[in-house]
Amino acid sequence: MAEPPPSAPTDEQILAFEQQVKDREANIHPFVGEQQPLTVLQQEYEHGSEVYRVKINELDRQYRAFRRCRGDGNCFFRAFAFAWFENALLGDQAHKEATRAALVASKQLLIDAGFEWLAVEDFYDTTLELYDQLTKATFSTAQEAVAALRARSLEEQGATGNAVVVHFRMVASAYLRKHADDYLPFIEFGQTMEQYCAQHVEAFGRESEEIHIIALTKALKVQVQVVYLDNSTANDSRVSVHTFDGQDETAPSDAGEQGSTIVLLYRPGHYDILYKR
Amino acid sequence: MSSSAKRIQKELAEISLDPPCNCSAGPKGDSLYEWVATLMGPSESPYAGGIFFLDITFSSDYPFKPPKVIFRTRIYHCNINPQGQICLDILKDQWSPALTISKVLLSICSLLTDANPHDPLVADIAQKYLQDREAHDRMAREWTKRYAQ
Repeated sequence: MAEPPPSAPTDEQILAFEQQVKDREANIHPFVGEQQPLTVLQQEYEHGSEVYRVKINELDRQYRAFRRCRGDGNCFFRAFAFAWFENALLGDQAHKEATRAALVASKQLLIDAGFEWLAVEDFYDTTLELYDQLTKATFSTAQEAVAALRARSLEEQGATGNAVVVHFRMVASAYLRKHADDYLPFIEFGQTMEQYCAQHVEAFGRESEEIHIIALTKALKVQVQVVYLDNSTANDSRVSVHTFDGQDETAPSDAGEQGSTIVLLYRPGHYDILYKR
Repeated sequence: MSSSAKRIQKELAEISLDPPCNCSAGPKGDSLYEWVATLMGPSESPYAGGIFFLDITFSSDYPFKPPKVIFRTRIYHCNINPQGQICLDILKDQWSPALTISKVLLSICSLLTDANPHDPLVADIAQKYLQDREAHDRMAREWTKRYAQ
């Protein structure tokens, strides 16, 4: 191990620079954007790969809009959380009650997983408070309700939205810790589930893998569809859709109705929200 | 009160009531965001008998960003440089808002007991640690005596 030349940047400087680049990238987009038609995506890839253009045309026929989430490593959790809240706000009373019950039950899951309550209670409280305030408020239109959700999630420089992201991260982590034996085969060999969860699930800004999606959908008993927009030409260059169903098999069959499914658009390394026509 | 201040206040109440072993921490002066911590060198380490002072700075987006923790007392350790900066994953990209300053101080204590010479901040101390542990420990004890007692 030779001493680095005096001009070499220190680890600290490299990290600070990386953070600067990340922050600059991230600040271009708000945490959660406005709904946009898929024509915006078509324009973005106008000079891009043919495969993407074909797939975006296909998406345009099935989905009426998408909503960008900031690419800060939290995009899966942020997209999921926003769509989860949106579905609750726009859903019927039964759906509202079911989602609230799942949210309240997540408190016990966190306690069982052994989290220090002092360190996680603010995130749970903020999420539940936001849920109750929004679902009890009267809005004259769906757009108004969603605008209120977006405004709340961006308030205090995004602190409220970030608290929800952290709560959902902890819920996914608690679920994996509780079912460690089932999921240990899917993580890096030699790592304990505690280590994996601390490094990859609880760490704020760490990108998500499929295991995060499985854990969160199961813990909150929801269905997520991930629509893959990538360069793959398998499947005749059609978009492929992967469904993660975390609902109880014993749940009433109408629980899986389209309205309560969260649909996410995945481009390699990034998640946004999609809306069906 | 902002969410960061609320959280820091909770941690302050907790750490005053039930401090992690061999540590203490609290605000330096009027600002809730500037703390000082003391850490006793772990008995099973060459830093035993030393008292180390650290500065802790919380940002307004705490706990979404990690606190900045700096050693104010010189220490001979391969993961802590002469400026007092600490190479510890949870203070960087593995920070989680579910961690607390107590947990951070405990992790720093463990770092004093078990250095991480494979990810060093001070290369020649790491080299000594790996090649001549006895000489390394002697030096660490000497520095502890000189700077931390």
